[in-house]
Amino acid sequence: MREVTIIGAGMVPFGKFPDRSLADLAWPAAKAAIEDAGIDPRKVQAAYCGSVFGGMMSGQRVLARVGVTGIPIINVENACSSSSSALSQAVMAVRAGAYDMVLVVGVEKLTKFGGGTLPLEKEDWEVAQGQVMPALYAMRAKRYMHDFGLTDRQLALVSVKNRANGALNPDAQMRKAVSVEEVLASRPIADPFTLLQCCPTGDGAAALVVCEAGLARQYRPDPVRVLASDLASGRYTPGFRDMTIPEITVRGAREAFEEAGVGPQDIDVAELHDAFSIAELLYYEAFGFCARGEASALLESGATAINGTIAVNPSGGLLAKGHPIGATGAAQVVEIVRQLRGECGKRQVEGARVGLTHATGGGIAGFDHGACCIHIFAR
Amino acid sequence: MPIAADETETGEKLLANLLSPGAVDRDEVGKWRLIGGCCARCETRMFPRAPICPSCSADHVVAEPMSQEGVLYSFTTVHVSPPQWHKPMRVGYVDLSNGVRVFSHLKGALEIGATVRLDIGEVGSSSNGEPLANFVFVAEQT
Ligand SMILES: [Zn+2]
Repeated sequence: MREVTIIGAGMVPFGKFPDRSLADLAWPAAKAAIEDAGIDPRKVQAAYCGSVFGGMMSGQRVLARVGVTGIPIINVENACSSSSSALSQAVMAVRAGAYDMVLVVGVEKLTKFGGGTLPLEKEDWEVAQGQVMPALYAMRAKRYMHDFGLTDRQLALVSVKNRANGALNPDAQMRKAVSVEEVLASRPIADPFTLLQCCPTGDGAAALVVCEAGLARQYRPDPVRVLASDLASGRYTPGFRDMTIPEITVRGAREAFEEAGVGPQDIDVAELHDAFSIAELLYYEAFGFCARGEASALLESGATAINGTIAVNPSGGLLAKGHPIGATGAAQVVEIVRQLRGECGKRQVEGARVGLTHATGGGIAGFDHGACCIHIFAR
Repeated sequence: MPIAADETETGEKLLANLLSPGAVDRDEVGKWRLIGGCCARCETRMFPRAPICPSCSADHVVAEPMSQEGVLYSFTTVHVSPPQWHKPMRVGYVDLSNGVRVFSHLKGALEIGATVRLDIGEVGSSSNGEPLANFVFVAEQT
């Protein structure tokens, strides 16, 4: 199997851009990634575009703007894992020798819905009964608080950390640091979450250039190696599940670490799927960054801060950078590529060598989550 | 308060606007119960009843009434959800004695581990102002 690298990364700052079309939102990210890679756009042999609500032919609409057409363009929908799943397909294709140079794009425009909770699929039984994403995560939080004694204040610290990180990231949607008091005083969304513990609604796009390792140094001196690319779907059950254990992420993490030949102790920087405050804590445990029940102690120790032993969500994560869902997976990889290259300025994780991205989602009945996509990278 | 499906006008109106009519019925003494399914081959139990077994794909899934009470696994009070639902909206997962977990609207004094009992109640209203009725699990006041 051939080695794969990322040689180009680009994104547009996340925010609210109701007047921009999907194509106008995304082409600057694609152009930035191609220029970052230092390649002629005609070198791109195939493209994978992740989007959930982008509509028919999102990839073609975007790539028509930047001269990348006539090649196979594959549109990928996998909820919050859409563009990370797009990357997994690109990695697989390059590993297999089908292509040497592939473009990955992730794009979403959530402002077209006007606000409120993310629209879920109405055919789903639980959605038809009233399920919404904040409720699903809130039930995990309530159970975790019940089982492990986590307090509202400890939960709010996730938002405090990630908002502080976001304040250092020019691409973040939320650029203001907040205090625990401000988090707790923001309006209630779904008990125990207040507004500042929920990712904001927004728009955005990110793109990556994936290149076969042997060719990469023709274009850049610092290709980022893909050590693992893991995609899993949830296991359906009509029965009981421990909601404090995100089984799909636990399984994906095990597979990804095995594929990469590294363990949790080797990760210097990680972008985890913090759609709501509790999520980041559950994922510390799912990835083995700490033992069961010790997530808030890990956070409070400072270990997951930018200058900690394992920096989590230095970009601000979904809570501060934003979560235009189809763009999220690719944007996480943009952050890790920049961290491993040492390009992150004030939020740079010093000496970062190994990084991880994790995008999981899809609220459907009987699943922990519908999809989970994990990548591990090294410089 | 949960509204008993009695002869009152409100009760009849609720019944006419039942959100998932196939998933509930009444037992011999008129109490509400959920109708789930049990796979005739592997005995996987589910709610609602599926046309084929979600575990083994067997074609024969038998309709099965389920326990009218369960244990509250987790819950939340939601302030933001689509317009048809009454807010604040209280929802959670109820674990039944047959191993099935049910997502449900809730009423009463909620706490994790509480015993909750099945009833019918108003959980929202449709765009033309008609009440939306559904099964709800109710925790007893402590
Ligand atoms: Zn079966």
